[in-house]
Order: sequence, then structure tokens, then C-alpha cells
Amino acid sequence: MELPMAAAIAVLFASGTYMILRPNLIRLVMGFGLYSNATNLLLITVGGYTRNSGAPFAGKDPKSAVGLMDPLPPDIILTAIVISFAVGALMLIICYRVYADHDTDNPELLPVDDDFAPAGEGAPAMTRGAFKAAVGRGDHPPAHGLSPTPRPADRHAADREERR
Amino acid sequence: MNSLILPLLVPFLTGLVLALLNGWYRLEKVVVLLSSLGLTAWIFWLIFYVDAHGVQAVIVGGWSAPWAVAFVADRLTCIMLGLSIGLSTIVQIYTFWTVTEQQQKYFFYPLMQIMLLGVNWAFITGDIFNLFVAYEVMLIGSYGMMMAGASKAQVRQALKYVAINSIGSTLFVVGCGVIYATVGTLNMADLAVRTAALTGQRAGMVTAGSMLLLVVFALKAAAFPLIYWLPDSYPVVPPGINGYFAGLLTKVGVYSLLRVFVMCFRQEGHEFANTVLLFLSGLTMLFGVLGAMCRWDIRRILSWHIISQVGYMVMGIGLAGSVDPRVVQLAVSGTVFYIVHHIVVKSCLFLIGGIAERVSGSQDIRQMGGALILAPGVAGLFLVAALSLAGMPPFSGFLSKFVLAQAGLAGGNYLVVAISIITGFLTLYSMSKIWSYAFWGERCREAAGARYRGMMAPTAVLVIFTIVMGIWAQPFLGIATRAADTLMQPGEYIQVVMRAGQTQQQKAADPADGLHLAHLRQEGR
Repeated sequence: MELPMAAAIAVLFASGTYMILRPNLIRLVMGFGLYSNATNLLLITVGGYTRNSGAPFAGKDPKSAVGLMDPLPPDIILTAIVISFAVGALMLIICYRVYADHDTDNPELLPVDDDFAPAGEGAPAMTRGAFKAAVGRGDHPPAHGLSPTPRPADRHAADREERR
Repeated sequence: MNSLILPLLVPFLTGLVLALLNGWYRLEKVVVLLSSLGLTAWIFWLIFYVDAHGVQAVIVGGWSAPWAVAFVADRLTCIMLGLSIGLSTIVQIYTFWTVTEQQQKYFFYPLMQIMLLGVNWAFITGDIFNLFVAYEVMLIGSYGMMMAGASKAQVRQALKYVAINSIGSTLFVVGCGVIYATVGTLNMADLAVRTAALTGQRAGMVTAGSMLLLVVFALKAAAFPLIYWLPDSYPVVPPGINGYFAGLLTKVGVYSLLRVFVMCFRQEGHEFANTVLLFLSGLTMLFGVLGAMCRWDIRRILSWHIISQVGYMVMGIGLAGSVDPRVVQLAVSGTVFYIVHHIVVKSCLFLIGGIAERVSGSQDIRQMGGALILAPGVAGLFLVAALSLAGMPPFSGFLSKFVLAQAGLAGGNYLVVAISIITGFLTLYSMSKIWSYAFWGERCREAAGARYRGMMAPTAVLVIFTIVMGIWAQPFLGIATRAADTLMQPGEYIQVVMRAGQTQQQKAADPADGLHLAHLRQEGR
């Protein structure tokens, strides 16, 4: 049973890595979901899962431990699931806030924080794209450049500012 | 020793109460103050108790020893708990003057308590998977603290911080799985017993699993290739709390490295991890200090210095791979001493940075000029802390670097010692840059009438601590050496953990400790 499990774990980890490396915030969160599933599969395999082994505490013969899988890995998996669920929810909220603030879900278009950025939002912040475009045109880089293709109205961010 | 549960229970309950008191801004501060002071008093009692009576342990949940989660307090744990709780008290008193009602409304103090809970948990737990849970609790608290105020820059940086730490968490669980598959236990004491007997292929598997943990801990500690998240994310943490971040959060990683790679993994070829760490430490020191030299933002300069300082501690853990037990003892006790020094001085510098920002109204040291005239007391505090960080003789920084350099020379690792000394000089350069731009020079602007005197008192406590630790170092070095001995020869630790869940009758019936510890006691490391 180990070989198919290993293959499944490998595929999940590979696709998770691919998703995380995409420049897209939602794929980032989904990539971490795949990572967490891959990890849990790995832990099941570690617990000695075979086609014939029963779940812990519910084996064929409840009085003997023969044929049961190790009960500790499922325990670890339960904890890991709860934690990855909580962190995933938090990450979704942060991604939404980033999208609402900057009107883009592409992390590469977010302002680069160099010196002094956190002091206030008026600090100079510029994207690599805007910088390249400015350098290409030969003029001075703009002080503020968030998205190269600004969308009509940043409704979410405006609402949020009002509510604050 | 059921009271070992207190460093977890008190912050947890305080956090809950504070969450219910949301909106009663003054009452919240009173509750924080009482809870922190009480816990600080208790932890100082525990340090002296454990130093006198040896390791204490408590088993949770009624299972017997190697399966149940154990909370263990040996000397190293007590030192770390003392620093964590003491520093959280100081930092929270400092924030009484900086926190805004807006921040308090969004659960500033409850999240701080949750973070404290996670940090304490990471120090006191005796189980590797439980350490993972502690990390997550600590991280969730720190995500909240990082976003206190929710400005755009904070949310942006929190995203990076959450993402890189989630990768770390994944690797952590995978590492736990690999080690559990090979050794069959995750209890630290049991690991130390079982890995000592491993050779050949199985030892290789454990080394592979431990490398995953090394990546995770190095990520948390910000060791060389995994440093770039730190100088971006720490500057957005609210002032005051960034002192706690700078002092404690990376040191949780260093503590885990120390605990796991000096005490737990004893299989054949375990020195490989130490060699890797030694290699990384030199690069960490150099990159950290070079990054700091070209910055002008005071928070960023200090953040980059955290990285270079972590390099020294990682160097100590790397030197602990030596075959000579005397070198190992020097290296480990030097690392413990360095952790104490670093936590105190680094958080102190962040707190002073916060005051200097408030006095001058800027984060750019070129615009801070003349703070010496505006606030001479702050300048005095900064001078002591900065010289201590760079390793000037009367203060604690000198001794901690001296012990590590001694260990390096005794072990024949001349190159890394040379790098550490160069890093010390470059740190001095960077500190004198802050001094000459921010404190000397023309006054750039009028004082905004900022009130900062209340923030001085908690900062001064830390400055006094580094002076005392430098001049009256013997008791500190003594407890650091005894903590190193427990790590190197964990016989007592293992015995206490294994017997923690037993009743008196079981203990009497099983005089041989139920374990074959003789080889561990004699072999040492």
C-alpha cells in the first residue's frame, strides 16, 4: 500500500508547490490546502495503513491490538487538520484584505516595502512593473504605482476606509 | 509539580478575561499588569527552585510517560520562561503609553496573551509534535499582533509572514512523520534514549527527518537562506510589541535547535546537523550585518541586526558537534548565555528605537538628528545597549561573544571565529551610524511635545540587566553551564520525564527507572 500512497503524496506536494509559486493569492491558499492534505496522507502511511488494517479502537477483534493501525498518527492528523483549517481561514481573510486594499490579487503587483514604508501609507511605494515601465520611458519613476491596469472603482477599499 | 501548567494557564485565562473586557480600556491594562506581575514572581521562584532541586515534569491527561504529553522544566526551559514572561511584562507596561484605543478595541492585549501562551508552551513542552502545536498558537497570536491597526503595509507584510510560516508548519509535520516512522516516538526524552542506539540506514532516516526540522527551526530563527521575511515584516509590528517579537520569536527557533540538535538526536552521524548549522551561521552573521549597514530606517537596521545576532547563537549550536566534551560544554553554555544577553539587549534597542521615533517624529535616522539634546536620557540608554550589542567589554555582549569565540578556537574552527569578530566590528559601525545621525548632529525639527518618560522606566530595567549581566556574570554563566550539562547528559531529564506519571507504589516497584540509562549517563556527548 505504500507505493500508491507515496505516489499520491508526491503528486499532491508537487501540485501544491506549483500552486504556491503562481502569482495569485487564491492559488496560494489552495496550494497550502494541498500541502496539508499531502502531509495528512503521509502521516496515515506512517501509521502502517494497509488494506487489511482496521481503524484504531474499531478493529476486527476489539480486544486485541492485532491488525489495528497505530492510533497516534490519526491523533496527530486530527490536530493538524484543525490547525490548517484555522490558518487557512485566516489566510483567506488576509488575502481578501490585500485584494481590497490594493485591488489586485497578484502578489507581484503589490508595492515593494523598502525603507520607511510602515510609517504611513503615504510612503513611496512602487511596483517592479511600474519601475521597469518608467525606466523604459526614461522619465522619473512615479511615486505611486499600484496596478499597471487600474480598475474602474476600488469600491471595497473605499467602503472599508469609510467604515474605519 | 502541577504548577508547571501555570505559564500556559495564566496567559490563556487572562486572554479570555481581556477579550470579555473589550472596551474597558483602563481596566484591561490593570488586569494585564496584575497577571503579568504575578506570573513574573512565580517564574523567578521556579528558576531558583529548579536550579536547586533539578528537573521537574508533569504528565498531562493520565497516560503514562512516553505516550502522554509531558511538560518539562529543566534549567534551560526555566531561563527561557523567565525571559519570555519577564520581557512580556516589561513590553506590556511599555505599551501602556503607546497603544491606541483603536488597537485595544481590536483585541491588542488578548492576542498578546495568546502569543505569550504559545511562546511559553514552546519552551515547556517535552514532545516534538506538541512543539508544533505551540508554534502554531504562537504564530496565530503574532499574526494578530502584526496586523494591529490593519494598515495596508501591515496586511501586506502579514501575508508574506503567514505564507512563509505555513510552509514551515508543513515541513514540521512532515518531519514529525518521518521521525515517528523511524523511531516510533516523538517524546523528546524517549527520542534521546532511542536514537542513541540507532546506526546505519535507520540513523540516516532520522538524520533526514531531522534536516526537515532544521529547516523549520532555521526559518523561525531566521538563519541564512531563510532570512528575507524578517526585515520586511518586523518593522510593521506596533512599537513596544516589536521588542517582544525581536527578543523572543526568533529565539524560540534557536531554543528548538538547541533542544533538538543537542539533546534529542544522538543517532550515528548526528554531527552532520551541527556541521550544516556551523556553515550557515557564518553566512547568517555576514548577511545580517551587511544588510543592516546600508539601511536608514531605524526599525530596519535593528531588524537586520537580529539576523546577524542569530548567527552567533547558531554558531554555538554548530560548534556543539565537536567530539571534545569540553568544547561542547563551552559552546552550549555560551549559546545559552548569548540567548539571555541577546533577548535583553535586542528588545531594549527596539524599545529605545520606539522612544526615539516618538521624540523625533521620524523613522529615518537622517531626520532624527539632535535627539541627544531633546532626550539625553534616551541617548544614554541607547549608548549602553548599542555598545553591549556590538560586544564592548563592560557589558554582557562582550562576555557572550568571548565564550563563543573561546569554544570556536578550542574546536579549531578559526574561520567562523574570524567572521564573528568581523561581524562585531561591523555591528559597532552600524550602531555608531545610528548614534551619529540620530543622536548627534543638528536638531532637525522642534520637539512635538511628545510624552515619553513613562516609556523610559521599563526600558531602563533592561539596560540595568545588561550591565549587571556583564559585570556580575558569574551566577549567569553558572546557570548557563548547568543548563548546558543537562542538555549534554540528559539522564536526569529522561528519568524525571519517564517517572512523572508514576504513582509512589509504581516507583517503589520499579527501582531501575524502567529504563536502561547507564550507557547514557556514562557516555555523555
